[in-house]
Amino acid sequence: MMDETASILPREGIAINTLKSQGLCLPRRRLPPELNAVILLLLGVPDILNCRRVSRTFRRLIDDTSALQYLIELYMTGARPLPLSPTTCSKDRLRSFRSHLHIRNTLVERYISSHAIDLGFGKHWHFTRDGLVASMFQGCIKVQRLPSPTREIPCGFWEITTGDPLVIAIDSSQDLLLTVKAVGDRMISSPFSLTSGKQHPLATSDSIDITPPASNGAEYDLFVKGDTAIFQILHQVEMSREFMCFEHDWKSGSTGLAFVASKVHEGLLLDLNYYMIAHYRSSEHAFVLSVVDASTDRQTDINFLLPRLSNSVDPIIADVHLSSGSCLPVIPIIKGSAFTSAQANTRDSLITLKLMTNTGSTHLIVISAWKLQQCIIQERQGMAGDCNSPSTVQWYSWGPICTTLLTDIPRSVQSIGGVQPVDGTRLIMPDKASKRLAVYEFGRFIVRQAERVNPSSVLGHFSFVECDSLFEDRVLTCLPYIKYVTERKDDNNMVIGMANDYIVLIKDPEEESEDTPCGLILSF
Amino acid sequence: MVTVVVSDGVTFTMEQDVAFQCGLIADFAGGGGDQEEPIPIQAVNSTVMRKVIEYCEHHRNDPPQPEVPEGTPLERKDRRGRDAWDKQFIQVEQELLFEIILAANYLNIKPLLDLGCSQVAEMMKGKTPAEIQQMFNIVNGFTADEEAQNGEGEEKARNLNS
Repeated sequence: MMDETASILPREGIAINTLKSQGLCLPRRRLPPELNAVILLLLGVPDILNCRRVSRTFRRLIDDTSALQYLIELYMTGARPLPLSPTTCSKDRLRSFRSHLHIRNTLVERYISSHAIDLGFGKHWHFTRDGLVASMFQGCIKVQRLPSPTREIPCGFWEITTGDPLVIAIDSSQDLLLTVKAVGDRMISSPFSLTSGKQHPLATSDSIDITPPASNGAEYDLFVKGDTAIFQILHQVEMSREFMCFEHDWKSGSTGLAFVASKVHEGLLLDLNYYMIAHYRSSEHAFVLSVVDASTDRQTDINFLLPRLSNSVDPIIADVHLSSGSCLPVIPIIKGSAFTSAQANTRDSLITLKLMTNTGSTHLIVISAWKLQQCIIQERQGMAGDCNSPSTVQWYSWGPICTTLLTDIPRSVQSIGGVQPVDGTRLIMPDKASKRLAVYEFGRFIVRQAERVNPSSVLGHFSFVECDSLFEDRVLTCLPYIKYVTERKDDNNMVIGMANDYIVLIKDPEEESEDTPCGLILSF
Repeated sequence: MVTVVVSDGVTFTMEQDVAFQCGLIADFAGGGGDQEEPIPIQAVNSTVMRKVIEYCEHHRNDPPQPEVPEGTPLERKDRRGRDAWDKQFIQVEQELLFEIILAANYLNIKPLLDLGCSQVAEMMKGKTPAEIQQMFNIVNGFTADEEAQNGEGEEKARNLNS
């Protein structure tokens, strides 16, 4: 963390020479980084931000010190953290402070990682069904109520991670991009025009009080100020379970999509570097990835031409899945298209786009660091997902790396409605009708059939719980390692989770007696 | 009595209760009676050691510092931490201040380390980046791009303060 050459007295500093010339020089002249961090912790946040501009070494130290970032983060959200007191800032204390952060993060990880979306700095946003946003930063939880979400943000909510706690919603039919940001005790929403990027001419900024929910009398407003409360949060993390149910059904009335999944350049609170926009350009019948340098607005487009199909009309971008790489924040924005849902996976680079045309064909575009492919799944019109209907499956691949035409697509993959990136290299396609999972991995398909799984590869059972309570403690207790869980209502409560090498499948409860364990953990 | 010899060869002899405020010396002496051999302290010179001993002698009768529980309000700890004598004591040349901090860090004298660090923080408070650069003779080493970002950061910081 602080093993770099950060220093109050950098090596090039003249002060060192002065000391030497006065004969005061000792073998180690610089203050070690941890002492610098201690000194910075004694300053207020404005002073810390000032110091960020003093020198590279300072900047690096500040950006790399989680405790300092934490103070800055608190400050940016309107809290006014007190500087840590001198007596708490000795090296030992700093160490223990860090280990507290670590413990909290671990706890938080354990409870919420299944849906936590990393916003950088270990910050997370969670969306609840009743328009509340639970934001989490290093164990501190803040619950906010979004301003009239159904009215003002018809297309859903997404997470953005530009270093600022922002929520972005886009309604392309209204040319509207709405950012919602918490400032102090107020929630400020600012409308922008999608085309111009400036203030939307027809909408106005709004600022509302953030009222914590009072559903069952529990205290939710856990966001803390100063250095006192952060340690109490440790005991209150369990409350975050209340927000384990997430609204994933973002489909109604959706007309546009902005999706952000990102790995912010680590520690740079004020710097937004690059972002990526994905969109469909109908004039060229191409899928375009635009990489934008945020500081200069310079944009580089990468076109992926879509194959022309007979009777093809402009595809509707129906489903976007995105998994950003470790270096770039990725923001695909699909303009003027219907979409169904989005899912982020921040582990590796992977974007999947599902395009549907009115001829009944479905394109699946997979872009990942290692391969760029398009899958066209021809579905009989109006019968998508019906396991009795014959389907034609074709895969096209292009790009420099992948030149193979994939032919072994199982016929069971009829509906890719549930396709999810699992990590940077895998897709999982649950097919509810045939009760199979098609797992696409490294260019080939493996079909898992839950009912016929070899008993030896069943690693565990658990009783079914309703989707809404999936993330309650009993499941979390027995499956603490589930990292990626997909909940698809249109698949009749089939829930598929992915944890490293395991698939977790929860079947439709109506088909099982109450006594039968209907959750399976399958070896992948 | 405890005897130490510092980097420039000067020998200091002090009472055990003075010396043992330095965690390093206490560890060295191992809690056993008088130390025969002088303890070598290579990382500290005599000028600094004199200041350190001055501090330790002044604080020799201090009650042992109770563990401050996490979350103790700042003001309470602050009042106890820095009395007038300490403030006067730490008013030294910048070079010497850093020497003292390094020595306190090396010798493991927590209160003195805290005192030194807060003094440096005090000096930096409310200063502009340029003033800090000048005060500590720091070359910023920023590229043009980073300088531009600094401008934006400044803007944000100003907005936050207003």
